[in-house]
Formats: sequence, C-alpha cells, structure tokens
Amino acid sequence: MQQPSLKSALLILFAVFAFLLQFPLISIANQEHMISNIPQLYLYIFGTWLLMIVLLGILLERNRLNP
Amino acid sequence: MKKILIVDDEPNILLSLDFLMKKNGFEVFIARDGEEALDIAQREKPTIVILDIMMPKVDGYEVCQFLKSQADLSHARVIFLSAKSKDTDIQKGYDVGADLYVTKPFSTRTLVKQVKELA
Amino acid sequence: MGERQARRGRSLVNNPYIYSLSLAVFCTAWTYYGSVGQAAQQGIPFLTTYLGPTLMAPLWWIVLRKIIRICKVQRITTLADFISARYGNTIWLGVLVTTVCVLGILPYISIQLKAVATSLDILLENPAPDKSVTGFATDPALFITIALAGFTILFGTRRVDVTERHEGMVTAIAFESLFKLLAFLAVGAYITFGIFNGFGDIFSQASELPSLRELFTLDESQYADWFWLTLVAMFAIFLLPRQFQVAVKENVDENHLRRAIWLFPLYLILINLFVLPIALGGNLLFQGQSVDADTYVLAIPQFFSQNGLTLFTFLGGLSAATSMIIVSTIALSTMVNNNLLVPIWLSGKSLQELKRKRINRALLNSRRLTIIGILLFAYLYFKLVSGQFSLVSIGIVSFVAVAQLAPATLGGLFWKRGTHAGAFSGLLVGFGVWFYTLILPTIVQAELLPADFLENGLFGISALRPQSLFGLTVFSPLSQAIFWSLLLNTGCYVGVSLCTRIGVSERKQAELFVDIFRYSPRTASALEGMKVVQAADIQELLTKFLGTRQTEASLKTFYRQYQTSYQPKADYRLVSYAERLLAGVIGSASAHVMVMSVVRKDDLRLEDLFQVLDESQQLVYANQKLKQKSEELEQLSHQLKRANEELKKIDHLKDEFISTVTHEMRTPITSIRAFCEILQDSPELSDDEQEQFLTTIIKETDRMERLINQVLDLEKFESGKQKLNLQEVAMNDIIQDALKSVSQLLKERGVTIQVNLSANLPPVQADPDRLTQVILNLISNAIKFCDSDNGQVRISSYLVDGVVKVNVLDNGKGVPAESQEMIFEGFFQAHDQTTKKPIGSGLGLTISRKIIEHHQGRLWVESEPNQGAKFSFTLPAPRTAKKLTY
Repeated sequence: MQQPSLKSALLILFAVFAFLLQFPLISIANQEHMISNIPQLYLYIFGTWLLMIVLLGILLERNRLNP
Repeated sequence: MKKILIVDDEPNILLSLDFLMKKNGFEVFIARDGEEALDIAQREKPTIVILDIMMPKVDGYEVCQFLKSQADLSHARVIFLSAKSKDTDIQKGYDVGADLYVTKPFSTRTLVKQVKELA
Repeated sequence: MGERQARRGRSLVNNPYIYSLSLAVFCTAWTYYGSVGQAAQQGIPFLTTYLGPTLMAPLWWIVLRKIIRICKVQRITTLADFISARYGNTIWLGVLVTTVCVLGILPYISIQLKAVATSLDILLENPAPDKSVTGFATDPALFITIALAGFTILFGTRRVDVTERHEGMVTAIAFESLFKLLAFLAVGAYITFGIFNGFGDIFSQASELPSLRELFTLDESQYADWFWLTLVAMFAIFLLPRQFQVAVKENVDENHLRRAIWLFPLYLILINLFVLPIALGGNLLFQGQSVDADTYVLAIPQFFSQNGLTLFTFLGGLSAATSMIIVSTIALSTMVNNNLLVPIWLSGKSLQELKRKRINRALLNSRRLTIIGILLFAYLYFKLVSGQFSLVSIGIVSFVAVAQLAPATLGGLFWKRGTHAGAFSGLLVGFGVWFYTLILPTIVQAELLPADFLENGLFGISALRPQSLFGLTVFSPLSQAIFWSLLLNTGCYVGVSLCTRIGVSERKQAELFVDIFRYSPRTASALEGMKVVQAADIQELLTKFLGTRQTEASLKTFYRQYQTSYQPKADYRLVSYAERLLAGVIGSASAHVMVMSVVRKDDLRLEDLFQVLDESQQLVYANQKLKQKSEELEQLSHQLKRANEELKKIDHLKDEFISTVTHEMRTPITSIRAFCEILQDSPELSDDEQEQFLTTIIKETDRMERLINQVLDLEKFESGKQKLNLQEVAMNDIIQDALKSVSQLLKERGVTIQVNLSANLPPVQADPDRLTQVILNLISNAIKFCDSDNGQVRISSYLVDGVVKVNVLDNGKGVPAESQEMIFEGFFQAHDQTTKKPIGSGLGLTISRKIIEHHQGRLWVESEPNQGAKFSFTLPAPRTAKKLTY
C-alpha cells in the first residue's frame, strides 16, 4: 500500500478529532459522572485533546521530508 | 522429343525462342496469350512451359496456378520469363509454383542450359 | 534590540519554537481573565475558543502554508491585501475588508483595555469603579491607552518598508507568551494545590452545589453554541489580523509550521488546564459576594494576600493584553494605511508628482495617526459599551466579525471560480448581518438605542428581531447570529461568483493563488532579504512560457556564452537573461514582473503595485497577438500538409511512370539481345534467316528510339518546356498530308478509308508538325485496331460551335468504358496488381492529348463494345477567319 502523504494524514486526523469533539459523539462522555473526583466530560475533552497533540507531534516530527 | 510450350504476347520474342528451342531439339508450341496457352497445354501436356506474365486475357500467374493444380499437367516445369524484376515479383512467381524465374532481358545461352536441366 | 540582533545573525528568530510561541499572542486578556469568567458562569463551553484552533492546526499544513507561500511570492503583508490581491487588486474590496477588520477588532482591543484597567484597580485595591462614564481626565485607563499608543508607534513604525519583519517584536511576543503561560500556571497551581487539595478536591467540593455541578457538563441548549463557537474559533486563528501578522507575515520558514502545528495546541492545553479549577475555586470562595468572575485570577491570590504572586499574575495579564494591543494595532494600521488612506490619497496624483522621500515621510505619519486613532476609538468603546459586558461575550463578537472573511479567503485559496463581486457581496452581507445581530444589541444594552427594537424587530417586523432573525429561535442569539451571517455570506459569495464573469487579471491571480504549489516549491523557504534565487525556479518559469525543449536549448546557450555551468543558485546574469527571453514572449514589462516574482527583493515600492495593474492590460494584448500568430501558423501548416500530400502523390506517380517505362524498354532490348546471341551462336543460319533476324534487331532498335523520344516529348510537355511553333494552319491540308504518308500501310493491311473533309474550315493557330503527329497517331491506331477482315477507317472534319472538330473512326472491337480515360494516360494504368495489359497502351495518345491541350483543344474517345471507336479532337477557331479556298 502506498504511503499516505502528510497532507492526507493530517486531513484524516482533523476529521477524526472533529467528530470526537463534536456532537453527537461528545454526548457519550457528557455525563455527570466523576472519575476519581474529576468530571468525566472534563477528562474526556482534555484526554482527547492531549491524544491529538501527541499524534500530531509524532506525525510531523517523523515525516521530515514529504509534504 | 520433349514438348515445350512458349507463351508471350511479343511476336519477336516468340520468334527468337521458337528458333532457339527448335535448334536444341525440342518440339515447340507457341501461344500469344494465356487463354491460348491453357488450350495448348491441356492438349499437348508439355514438359516445359516458358511463360510471360503480362499478357492480355489471362496472365501468366493464372496459367501457372492452373497448370500446377491439374494432376495431369503438374509435371510440367514452369519457367517465368518476365520484365518484372522486383524481389516481390520474383517471390510471387515462386509462390504460385514456378520452377524458375528468369528476368528479361535474358541470355539465350543461359536459358538453354536451364531449360535442358529442367527437362 | 532584537531587531539589531536579527539583522546580524537571524539566529534568534529563525527558530520554530519562537515562531510557535509567537502564535500564542492568540491568548490575550480574554484567555487570562475572560476564560475563567466564562467558565465560572457557563462551565465547559469556554473551551470552544481553544478547541477550535486545535482542530484547525492539522489543516494549517494545507491552508496556512498555502497562504504563507502566496504572500511570500506576491509580497502580501496583510489580510486586506491578500483578499484584495486575490480578487483582482481592486480598491473597494480592500476598503471593505479593512473596515470589517477595524470595526470587528475595536471591541476586542477595548476588552484588553478593560482588563488592564480592572486588574490595575484590583492590584491597587481600589474600590470597585462605578459603571457610569467617569471623567476622562483622571481615568487611568486613558493613560494606559496613550502609553500603549506610544509604545506601538515605537515598535511598529520605524520604517515605511512594510515587508521588513519586526523580528524584535516577534521575539518579544514569544517571550511574553512564555511569561504569561508561566504566570497563569503559577497562579493556577497555587489555587489548585495551595488553597485546595488538587483537582479532585475542587471538583468534589463543587459537585456538592448543584449550581456548580451543572458546569461540569454541557446542557442541551449549549449543543449548538458548542459547534458554532468552535467553528468561529477555527477561523479566528488565522483570520484575526494579529494572527495573520505573526503566523503569515512574520513567518521566516514554512517548515516552522511543522513544529507549530503540535506545539501551539500543546500551549493551549497547558494554559487551559487550570481554568475550570480556578473558576470553580472562585465560585466556591466568593459565594454570595459580588466578585466579577473575570477577575478571579487576580482576586483569589490577593484575597489570600499573596502579594508577590498577585503582582506576578497581574504582570502576566498585563503582558497578555499589551501584546494583543500592539500586534493588532500595528496590523490594523497597516491595513488602514495601505488599503484605505493611501489609495485615496494617491488616486488624484500622478507618480511623477510625488518624490519618493515625501511618500515615505507621509506614509510614516499617517501610520502613526492611524494607530492613535484606533486606540482612541477602542478606548471610547470600552468606556461606553464594554464596561457592561463580560470580556468573553465581547470577544466572541470580534471572532464572528473576522469569521466573515472566511468564505472569501478559503474560497480564494481553493476555488478558482470565486469572483470579486462574489467576495464583495458575501462580505458585505455577512458584515451587515453581524452588525445587526451582534453589535446593535450591545449598543441597545448600553442604552444608546431604544430597547424595543430588540424586542420587536426593526420597524416592528418580528422577523427582523436581531436576536432571532427570520424567526429562528432554536439557536441562542449568538449561534443564530453566527449561523445567519455565515450562511448568507457564503451563499452570496458562491451565488454571485457563479453569476459573474471573471476578469483577466482576476483569473491570473486566481490561478496563481490556487495553484501556488505548482509554481515554485523551492523558493518559499528562502530567507527574506537575502537575494537568493534558485536556478531551478528560473528554469521552471522559463519552461512555463517557452516549453521544455526551448528552455533547455536557451539555457545551454547561456552556459556556453558565459562559459559557466549549472549552479543551484542563479546569479544576476541568468536572471536578466531569463527576463530577456521571456520579454520576447510576453513583453518586457510583464516579463519583469514575472521574474521579480521569483526573485526575492528587499524593497517594496508602491510603483510596483500600480505596474502590476498595468501589466494585465499588456498581457491581454500580448495574448491576443499570440493567438493571431498561432492561427496563422495553423493555416500555414495546413497548407504545407496539403502541398506535401500533393508532392507525395506526384512522387508516387513518377515512380510508377519510371517503372512502367523501364518495363516497356526491356521488351525491345530482350529481342535485340536474344537475336544477337542467336546470330553469334548459329553459323548454320541461312542467309534469309540471318536477314530476317538482323532486320528484326534494327526494327526493335527503332522501337526503342521511338519510345525514348516519346518519353522525352512527354517530359517536355509536362514540364512546360515544350515550345509550339504556332502558325495559321489549314486543318484539311494536314490531314491530306498525313493520309499520303500512311497510304502504303493502308494498302498492306487492306483497310479502306473514307475521307469527309468540310470545305470551308477556318484556319487554326497550330504547330503543323505537332498536329501532323496527332493525326498520324490517330490514323495509325485506327488502322491497327480496326476489324481484321474488313477494316474500315473514316476521317471527317467540320466546324461546329465555333471550333474545328476532327473525327477518326474505326470499326474494330472498340474501347471498353473503364479504359477510355486510361488510354490517354499512357502507362498510367500502373497499379502493381494489374497484370493484364490493355491493348494499345503506349505513349502515343498521351502525347497527342498533351499536344491538343496545349492548343487549347480537347481530345477524347467515344466507343461502344464491338462497334468501333471514334476519336475526336477540337481546336478553337479564331473569329477573324480568312476563308481559305481549296
């Protein structure tokens, strides 16, 4: 399989996280539930956020050459 | 005596070949076109046929093909004698079954030798 | 100082970390104070402002990189320039964009001022200021504003050259971003871990209060806001003037984007980590007290008398506010200057009138005035309006304003069909809706407008209620404002674009924008200011206009001429050589612009701008000429093709002719040779036989000579070298003479001949020898082919229809229809397949026809099978005919 270009990888990343952080998907975490005393939604958003940053970092630092 | 049929629409060529072959011991028959040639051939069943190609009514190729296709005539040795000298022409001559292809102008001495060999 | 250093080594700013941090100018007092305020009242939705940019980050590689590349190549420095350049460089679009930006950002600046003023009050523990308009003279905020104006002028207006980067400013911003992050993290950590016992503690304490617990989740009514606010924030991250400034204009290296795409979101997540805890903490601590939630960040440490931390925090907020103000004001003032003031000022004057020095000075001064003006208006807005609203609610209004630029910008980047009219109308409509639905209500609430227009709509029409336009009540007022403004904006943009034609320079710009990556992939990462030109780019440019082969050939010539070889960096000789080459194709002025677009230059001259507008005219003209030339070329090549085909046909005929003639020659040669050999080899021949053979040889020799003469004759007629010896000739005399010469032949063949010659034939202009040749040819043919037993030949001549006509008839087998033309073509029956010789082929008739045609006559045959053949020819009879009597 051909290596996907940086451009398309970024597009996919955007699409995935846009879905994760918008309705309806976000409503799954939108409960008044606390996980070790931290609101679930808060954790979900920050967790997803952090995950996105990490993935972006990996993608961009690995992909030194090809746009 | 072996029979030889000479076919050409040029009278002078017929004259020269007629003299030549008679001198070398053949019984000579002449035809001025393909149609005449086929008539004589079927009648006399010659051993050798010297055939011009460009002739009115029936051309040399057709005569040769006919001769070679007939069981009682296919023994005849066909010699094409023609001014058509391109490689394609010569190849076509052999393709239709000729035994020899001689281009005009020809040498009488060579032709006599070749005819004697084929006879 | 940073600038001096920058000029020396550029080591400081050419750094992806500096770039990424400079983007954090996005986080202003809004982030510092306002987020906490918003979180304290609404909870989670404050994150939309930061999730938007985070989601947009991966798309920067496509969108932002393209914008950066375009701006580098076209030397664009502001957003107004960008949009205006894309859509044909017209003035009005630039004016509109500038207006939208200025009016949109003024509120944003005003909330910074508010934050500074308020935080100062808290720091100095002043009593809460009353909301009414205080005396201006003693208002500390005014002094702050003036100070900031001075600072901005210092920072931003050293030179006129807009393209020169403010690298000192960028470095300062980067450090400031770091500083405010640290300050915020410090106070956040203090509150979370110092006052409370960590995140868990704050949240669990808050969860005991239902009013606070509901801040943990999103309410259904907040779903729409969540979406629209995220979308608007996505646009803001690159459309806000200050963001455009740091992200695009100040960008040194495209590849810095790689780092920024993940570093910036990382910054955002860090600075937002403690926001909700601080908000909840404040809510918990100040329950029942009327403390403005926007101030929690400062109020809490102060409450606990942490003076050092309070000061640190205050400075963090101050730096956040001031960096926003400075960068935004510089960006806005540049826009106002370039797109509003200068065009108006220059429109009346010709370039010769203005000396360069005066322009510089004037531009500088107008910039400074603009800065002061903007800040003063921001101050006024703060005083009159902002004081009454939360920071974020005003800030979002600005976001929505700049979001109106999104359709035109994104469309301009990816859609070649977007036109100037579309962009203008879309922007105008969007801006109008924005103003109506977001600004007016705030003015109403500031009691500067009657309130019932809010309740009942404009002129009492409820569909025109600003907060639920066209009756849309499903969204909150904010969401519906965003929805309608963007919808109508995009609708107009697309709709009007599709309905209008694209101008020539617009189309050129559209291509240059949308296809920018196709044109010069290597130039964009070159450092600004260094005259770095890649030879590869020059080659690419040339290939675009000259084609690959021509370009390679021209380059070879160049290298040979200057006795050098290919080098990656093009020197000035190559550049000017390329320019000369291009000038031959598109004209010198346009060639210059094209080449300069590839070469980096230090100076931006306004003259260049005007020249660009001029170019497009010349380009159109050159294009038309090119089209003409190509049409002519097409015609020529068509003609050439036809001539070539003719030549091929003639060549083919010539080959056939040669092969047939040589074929014909071989027959007599064959006889001659055969008889010669026979004579040699046969001494026994009788005298008679010898005589016969020798005669034959001679006859055949004659035959050959005849043939050769015929061919030569024919050649003379074909090539037009034949000279006719025209005299007055009596047709009948010729015929009689001819008959005399064939009388012997007639007798030999036993052919009877009938002669019917009309008595009063007028004389004709003819060559008598040639005419005789024709008659002899026809008669001898007739004799040859007439019936063998009872041969009859008839000749007649008469005058008919003003021509002299001669007929020669025979009673032979006739000429078949398919041969009736061929016999006049001599040997031209030659297709190799034909081995059947038509009887009587030879050149005689061909030559006869040629002769008759050269006498302006006609020669043809009429014949039915077995009913003989009738050969006829005609010759024109001149009217002044002397009657000859016989």
